Amino acid sequence: MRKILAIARFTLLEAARSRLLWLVLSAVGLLMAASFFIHELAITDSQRLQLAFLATGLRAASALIAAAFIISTLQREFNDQGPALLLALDLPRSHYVLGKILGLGLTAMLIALVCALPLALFAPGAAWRLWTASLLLEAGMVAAISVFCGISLRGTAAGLMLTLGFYILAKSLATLQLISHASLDAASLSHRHMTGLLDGLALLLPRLDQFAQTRWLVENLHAAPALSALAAQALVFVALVTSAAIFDMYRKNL
Amino acid sequence: MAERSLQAVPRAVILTSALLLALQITWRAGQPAPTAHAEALPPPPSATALRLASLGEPITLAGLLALRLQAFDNQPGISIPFAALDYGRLIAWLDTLLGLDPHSNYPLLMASYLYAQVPDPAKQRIMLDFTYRQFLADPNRRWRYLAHAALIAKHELHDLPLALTYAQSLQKYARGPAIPHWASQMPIFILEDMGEPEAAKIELGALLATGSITDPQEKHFLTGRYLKLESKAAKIRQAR
Repeated sequence: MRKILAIARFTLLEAARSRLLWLVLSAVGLLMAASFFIHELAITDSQRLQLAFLATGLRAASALIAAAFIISTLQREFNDQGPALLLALDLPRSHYVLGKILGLGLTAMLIALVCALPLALFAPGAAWRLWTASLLLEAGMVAAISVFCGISLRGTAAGLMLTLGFYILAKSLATLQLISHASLDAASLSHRHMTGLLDGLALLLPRLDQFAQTRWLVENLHAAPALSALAAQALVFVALVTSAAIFDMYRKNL
Repeated sequence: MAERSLQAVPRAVILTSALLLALQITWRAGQPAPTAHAEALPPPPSATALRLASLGEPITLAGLLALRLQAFDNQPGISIPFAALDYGRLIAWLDTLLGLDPHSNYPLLMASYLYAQVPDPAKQRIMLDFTYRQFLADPNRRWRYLAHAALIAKHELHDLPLALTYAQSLQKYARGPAIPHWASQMPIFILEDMGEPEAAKIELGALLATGSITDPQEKHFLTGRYLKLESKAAKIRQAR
């Protein structure tokens, strides 16, 4: 456990010493400025529109920045042979992955927290707390999938594309399933295959559209029981992706 | 780390860069200035496609699309009057926006305050009809837009029966605590304008009988009004 915590601590230190915080603050500043512009453009519902835009933008920014940071960090480490050096010591590969997931997961959650803070100025308190808590859970899942892609794939671009693909698919899969099940051409073979594929994917991916919903903020909804279900989903998914990353790490030729 | 001096750059590289910069500027200067083209309002994408494109954020997408629609009359370098827009497509857009975000006020405000202000009665009626249809779907949230629609029907279209229909629906369906009394009193004044003091008197009497008017000043004013209507109705009866 000490080894895992040591890796996590140094990963966090690395994030703190990079220019990550400035990047996050710049994104927050830009989105805030854009949201005020939208507030001025709107002829009604201006506060609602500003809040919705800001929440959506900050949510996407936190996921994108976290994924880009995690994947580029891991790729650089593997290119510099850092893991090979570490694993030459008395350190199992699984501990390395667990330490990285813990450190990078916390980094992603801190990024999400910084992104969520400005919304406290505009959103009702209870709804903001629920939204932020579920954004932190989402950040944990994005971090886990980014670590998996960073370890398993060669190249930052490929890792980032796969992570973004996962993010977009997990957010839109429920709608895709609805479209597929409501189609008029339901009897055709290709359609049945496609529906089956989507249903299969839905079993593997978390429903990210249920996390950090903008509706909670603009309509001041704060259903506490929803958060426990989201936390359980996040826990199961992070554990699954962690085990997959460990599996890949053991198979990897360093 | 300090950069190397300019002298470290080969002269050929500097010369080529300067030449290419001049070429780029010459090329752009030779191209014609952009001209403004009015673009027709396209039909909205299907609700399903928009839901898919919103990536789980339909409220944000609805807001951004509303802003786009609002600014459609102001295209780069050209301004299109609202009356020149295709109102069938406008209605389709407004319906789509409400489908994405049913709690938004934006589509109804645009329909009743922007697009219903054109000097074209047919187009005004399209927007009023949209407002009425959407009011019936959620009266307590959308009552203010129907109240405005009733005013447009009365003062701009001079269609008192239409204004009365809207006012009576407002009175009948909008029952929330936030609905002001003036909204439920609208049918009375429209009936009076229509030369129907008897009907207006009955409406006002019914309103006073509910006991919902608690403000003494308002009660006094409306009772005075009731008495005036009663004498007006009596005169009409006598004349007959």
